Amino acid sequence: MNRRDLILGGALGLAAAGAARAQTSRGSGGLYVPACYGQVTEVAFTTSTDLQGFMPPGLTVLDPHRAFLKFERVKIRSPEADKMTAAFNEYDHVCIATMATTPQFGPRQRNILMWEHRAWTAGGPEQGVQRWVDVGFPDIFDIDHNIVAKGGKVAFNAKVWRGLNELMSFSGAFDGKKRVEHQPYPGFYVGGDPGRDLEVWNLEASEFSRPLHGTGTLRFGAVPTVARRVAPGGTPPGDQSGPPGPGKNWAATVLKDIEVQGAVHHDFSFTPSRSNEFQLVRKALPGDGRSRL
Amino acid sequence: MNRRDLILGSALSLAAGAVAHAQEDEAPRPGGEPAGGVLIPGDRGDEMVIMFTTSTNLNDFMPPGLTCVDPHRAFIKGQRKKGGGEGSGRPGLQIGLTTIATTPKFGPRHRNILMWQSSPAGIASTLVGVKRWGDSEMTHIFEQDRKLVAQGSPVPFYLDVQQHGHSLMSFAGVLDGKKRIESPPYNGMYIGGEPGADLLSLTFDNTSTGRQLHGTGTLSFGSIPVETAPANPSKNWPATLLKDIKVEGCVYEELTFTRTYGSEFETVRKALPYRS
Repeated sequence: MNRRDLILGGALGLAAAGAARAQTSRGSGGLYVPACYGQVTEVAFTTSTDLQGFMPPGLTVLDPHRAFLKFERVKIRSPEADKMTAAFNEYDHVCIATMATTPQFGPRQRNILMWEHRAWTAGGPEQGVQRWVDVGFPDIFDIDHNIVAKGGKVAFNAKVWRGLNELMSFSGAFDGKKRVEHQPYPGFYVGGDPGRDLEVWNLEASEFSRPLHGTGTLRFGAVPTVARRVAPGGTPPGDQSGPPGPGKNWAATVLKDIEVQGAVHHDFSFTPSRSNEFQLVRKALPGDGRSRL
Repeated sequence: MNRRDLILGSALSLAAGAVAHAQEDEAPRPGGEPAGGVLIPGDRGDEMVIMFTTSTNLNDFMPPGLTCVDPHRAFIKGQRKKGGGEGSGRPGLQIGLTTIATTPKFGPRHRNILMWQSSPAGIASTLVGVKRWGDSEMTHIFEQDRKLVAQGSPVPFYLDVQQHGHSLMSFAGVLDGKKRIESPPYNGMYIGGEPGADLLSLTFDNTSTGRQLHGTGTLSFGSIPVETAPANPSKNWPATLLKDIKVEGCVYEELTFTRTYGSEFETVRKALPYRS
C-alpha cells in the first residue's frame, strides 16, 4: 500500500500508485508524464481565528491568520489509472490550507480540511480532515484565458454542500488583476492527528502555468448538529460542533472574519518524489485516529 | 418564456441566458456581438465527437419531413460547456447521439436523435422527447494533455453514461493526434418534429471549433429495462437499437457558439397530431 495514493485518491490511488512512479519521467516514447495534473484555483484569505489551533503537535503555522482555499480538478496518470474511466482517475476537491513549518523540513503546505467530490478520495489516512461532500466549481477553458486577456471577466462561482447545507460558497471572477502571489508548493505536512505519524510528503516536481488573477467573496457554512444517541465515547455521525483541531469534527465556520485577498488560477502538475516520498517528522501520539465522520 | 431557453436548458438556461446578456452588456443584444470590445460567446467549452457507422437505418428515428444525409452514419457529441451565467454547480455534460439530416429548404444540419443530460436542469424542455437524464463522466483534457499528445504520448479518453448501474453508453479510446475523421459542421440543428411538436430549424451564429485532438476507440451502447420502444423520433427506445457499431475516429475540440436571436427558429413544418 502506498501512502501517496491513499492521500491522493483512496482506492484508486492504490492501484495507480506504483505504476505512477514507473510512468513518471518515462511515459510513452520516454516522455515525462506527470503523475497528476489539471487545474487549480487558489483563493487567499485572512481570518481572525488562530490557525495554530488546527495544527498537530510539532507543526507550527507560518502565519496564524492567513490561509487559502484550493479548488483542484486533477487527473491521475499511471498505467493502471489510464485503464480506468474518468470516474476513477479524476477527482475534484476543495482544500482549506495554510503554510506550516518544522525546524527540520521548513515551510510546506498543510491541508487543514479537504472536501472531496469522490467517495474514493475520502478514504485515506488523511480521513480526519477529508470529508465526502458535493463540490461544484467551473472549468476554465482556453477561451476564458482569451476573454480575460482582452479585458473581459470570467466568473468563478463555487460551492461545497452536503444535503441542503452549504459548507462553502465562493463568488468571484477572473479579471486579470494581480492581487496575490501564487502559494508555494514545496510539498506537504500530512498526518499528525492522534494515532498517526506526522510526516512530510515530498514532491519530485511541480509546475504551475498560465495564471489567471481575480477576486471574490467567500463564506463558510456548517451542517446542523443532530441530537442522537451514540456509543460511549463516540460522536454523532456528521457532528461538526467540535473546536479547532488537527483532525475532525469542526466546521469551517470556526474560521471567523474572513477577508479574501485575491484569487489565482493555474494549470498545474505534480509528481511525488520517488526516492523519499515520505519522511518522518515525529511518531504518532496516542489515539486511534478513527474517523468520526 | 423564450423557446431557445426551453430547448437548451430550461430553468438553467433561463438564468444563464439573462446573466450572459448582462455580462456582455447591460442591454440585451444579438448574441455574439462584441460588448466592450470583448466577444463572449453564448456557450463555450469542449466537445468530444465520436464518428461511427451502424447497420441500423437512422431514418427510422427521423420525424416526417426530415431525411438523414447518410442513414448509417452518426456521431456522439460529448459536450462540457458553460454559458454566460456560470452557476456554481459542477459543469454538466450533454451527450448527444446525432446524425446529419436535411430538408430541401434548410439543407444539412445536426439532428440529435437522443440526448443524455447529466444535469436535471438540462432535461425539462420542449425537447424532452429525446432528452434523458444520464449520470455521465467524460475525461477532462487539460493543457498538459495537449502537450503530451503533441509530443507523441497518447492520452486515454473515456466517456460513460449510466443510469442506476445500467451502462447506456461507453466509449474507451485514446487521443493520439492521428486524424481519421473530419469534425462535422456545426451550422445549426433540426429540432422537434415528434407528434405534437413543430419541426423547426435552429440557426447558430458565430460557431467555432478549434484545437482539435484526434484519436479513436471503441463504443458500445446499453439500455435500461423501461426502454423497449422501437425506433421513433422521440422516446422510449434504447440505444442498443443501433447495431454493428464501428467507430471511424474521434476528435476532441474546443467549441463556442452563439444562437441567432430573432430568426433563431424557422418552421420546417407544423406539428402533426399527438398520439400517446
